[in-house]
Amino acid sequence: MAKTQKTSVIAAAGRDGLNAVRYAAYSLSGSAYVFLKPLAGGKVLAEFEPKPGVDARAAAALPARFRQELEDEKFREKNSAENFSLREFLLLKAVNYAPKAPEPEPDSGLTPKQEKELNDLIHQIEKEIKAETAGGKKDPLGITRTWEDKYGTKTGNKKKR
Amino acid sequence: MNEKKNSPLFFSGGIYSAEALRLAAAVFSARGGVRLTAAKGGTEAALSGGINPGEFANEALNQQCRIDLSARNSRLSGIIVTKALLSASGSSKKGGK
Amino acid sequence: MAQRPATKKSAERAALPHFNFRRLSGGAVLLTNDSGTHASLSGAQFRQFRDGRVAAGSALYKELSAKGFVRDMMDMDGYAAACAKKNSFLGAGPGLHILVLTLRCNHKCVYCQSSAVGQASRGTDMSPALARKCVDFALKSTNPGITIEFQGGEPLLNWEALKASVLHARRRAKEQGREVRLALVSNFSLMTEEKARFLLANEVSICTSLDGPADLHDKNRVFAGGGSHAAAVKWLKYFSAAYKKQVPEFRTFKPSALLTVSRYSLGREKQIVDEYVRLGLEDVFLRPLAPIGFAKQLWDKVGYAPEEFLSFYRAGLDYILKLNARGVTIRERNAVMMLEKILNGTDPGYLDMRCPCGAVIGQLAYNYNGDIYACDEGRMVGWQGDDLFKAGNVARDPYSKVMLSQASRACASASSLDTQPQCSRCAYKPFCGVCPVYNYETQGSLSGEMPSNGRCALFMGLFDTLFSLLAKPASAKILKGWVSK
Repeated sequence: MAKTQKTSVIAAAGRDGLNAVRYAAYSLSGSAYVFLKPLAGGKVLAEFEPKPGVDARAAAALPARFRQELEDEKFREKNSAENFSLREFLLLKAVNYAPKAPEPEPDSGLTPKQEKELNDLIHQIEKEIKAETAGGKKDPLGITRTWEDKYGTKTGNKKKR
Repeated sequence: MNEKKNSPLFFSGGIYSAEALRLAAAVFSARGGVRLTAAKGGTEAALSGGINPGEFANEALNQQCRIDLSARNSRLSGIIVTKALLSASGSSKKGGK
Repeated sequence: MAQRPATKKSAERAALPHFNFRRLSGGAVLLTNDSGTHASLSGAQFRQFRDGRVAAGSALYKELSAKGFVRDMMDMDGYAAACAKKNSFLGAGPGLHILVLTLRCNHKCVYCQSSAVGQASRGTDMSPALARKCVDFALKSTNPGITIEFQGGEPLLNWEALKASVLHARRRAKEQGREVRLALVSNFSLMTEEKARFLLANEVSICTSLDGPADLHDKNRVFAGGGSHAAAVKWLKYFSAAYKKQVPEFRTFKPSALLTVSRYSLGREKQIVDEYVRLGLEDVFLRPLAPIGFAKQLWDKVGYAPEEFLSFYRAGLDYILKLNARGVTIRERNAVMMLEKILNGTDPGYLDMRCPCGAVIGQLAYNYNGDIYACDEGRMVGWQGDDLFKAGNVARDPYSKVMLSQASRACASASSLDTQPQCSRCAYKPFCGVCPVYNYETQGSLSGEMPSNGRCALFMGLFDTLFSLLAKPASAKILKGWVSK
């Protein structure tokens, strides 16, 4: 049986942060068995043994992947620390979020009974106007009649312009 | 990583907390035996019942990362989970019982 | 999202808010934040952004500002509102209530996860009285919208309980003035004209399993009486015709079908989609099989690795998009649900993909004996002798006790993505969720270990596929059309 090829990378826990080293190693644990050992001078040895089924190319790429992940993790740690309070504030705001109530309609200064009486009066007047001006009905004020219809055609006396 | 069969694994206390190893041992309890012993500078884990040492080491790292993360995010996570539970139970409004 | 006017000069650095990122194949980097907005940057743009060197007047700056990726330009109210909208389910209790009317079944599906027993089995039917109790329990939910789904085994084998619970649910819903949706999941082999008319008249929406063309369907879904596919198709056509007719007395819903992808399905994605199109179905759910329950024992025979499913899925989705380009109406359900989250910032009600997961607080599974489980998968684990996911019993436990049960609290805590090492830093976190039952069954703990979790690999692959398609104008247009409001 072929021996699986173990690889390792030395990271500096002091410079990179132990959390970043852990998370970077952790992110590779789908492809490899990962083991972290302390070294002198605040360093950490990250050992990777490719899991069965991981091809040679992927196995060879593990150290490079770890270094990339470590850089990304260092950035994530920094970003997370800088935004911890803001993020918590925003998420708590979201948890307690309630949509704003719609704006109330402007107050006319009338009681509901007065408003109803006014509306009823308006409807009554509209009804009467409709009835007065409906086709075929008489025009009591003569509004719709022309001047000629009312007073007859003028002769002679009309000033010429 | 120790390749000898049945040789205990040593986990440095500076990288893997005892709590992480206890949690990992609990996860593997159905698969075989894990005996944890305090040693100088860390913990020794003796595996039996065919437990893959690599799998156990990965689980230990998983649990350690979870412990770290919980220390930071447990308050926020707890608030969200609590809201969900209380809303479902009706404790935060009418209904339920 | 509304923005505040710029107050900083163009040469100044943009301060970074919290965000997650993922390096995609091809060099692009996807950014997301808690509100669910996203941006895709080239490698060079990401380095600029990460180092705070994006010039304030640039097009990239404007895009990032609008999406909440520039800290000083954040609309806090809008951000919080978007988070709240995306997580609106946090304010309500279980909406889905699965009544397992019987464990008896007349099929022997190769991937059966429902702990079905033989048709002649005794003592595994829910009584009509208990079914009514389950309905009453479901109506105690704090969720204003309830769906009661009748499942089994084969629920038509317990017609008396089904009928009793449908009538009881309709009566109670009317008394309480509540909207209650009823749904039946059946293999249709025992459907009759009389039963169909009753279901339609009581506005029960109908769903069946359809695994593809007849040979594939019948291979997956073994029916001693023969012709599982024929029965499914016959009644799908019946209910489709009823839907098209629509009568004024009651609403008729379009019938739907569920697909379970087994090892036998791999490589046959086009034939499966063609079968759905042939039958006039407008949605196909390319649903992966999970190694839970009986399927776990048969995994070597019927299961597959995540990469195998993803290969099947990509080919299937690619074919579906081609059909769409030709004017054929067919959508893929995983994609639709994920796109609702990604593009619309809404919760599609997919209980498997939310944080915390829907166990108990989003759904309940009522076993034939009244035991209540966190979900149907949890019930399957219970059938195998492990009651970790049991939340109570409908006859003995009050609603609030079930909601706050150990199963409920444990699943809610374990599925919190902010305490998951991989999920908390994942770009897909705003759209995703973990399944404690899957984790427990495959990895031995409720929280699992995501880097080697098959379900995580699968979901990441689905998201990768969708975001890659969204980056291409032609496919993006079709996908956006699937979820346009």
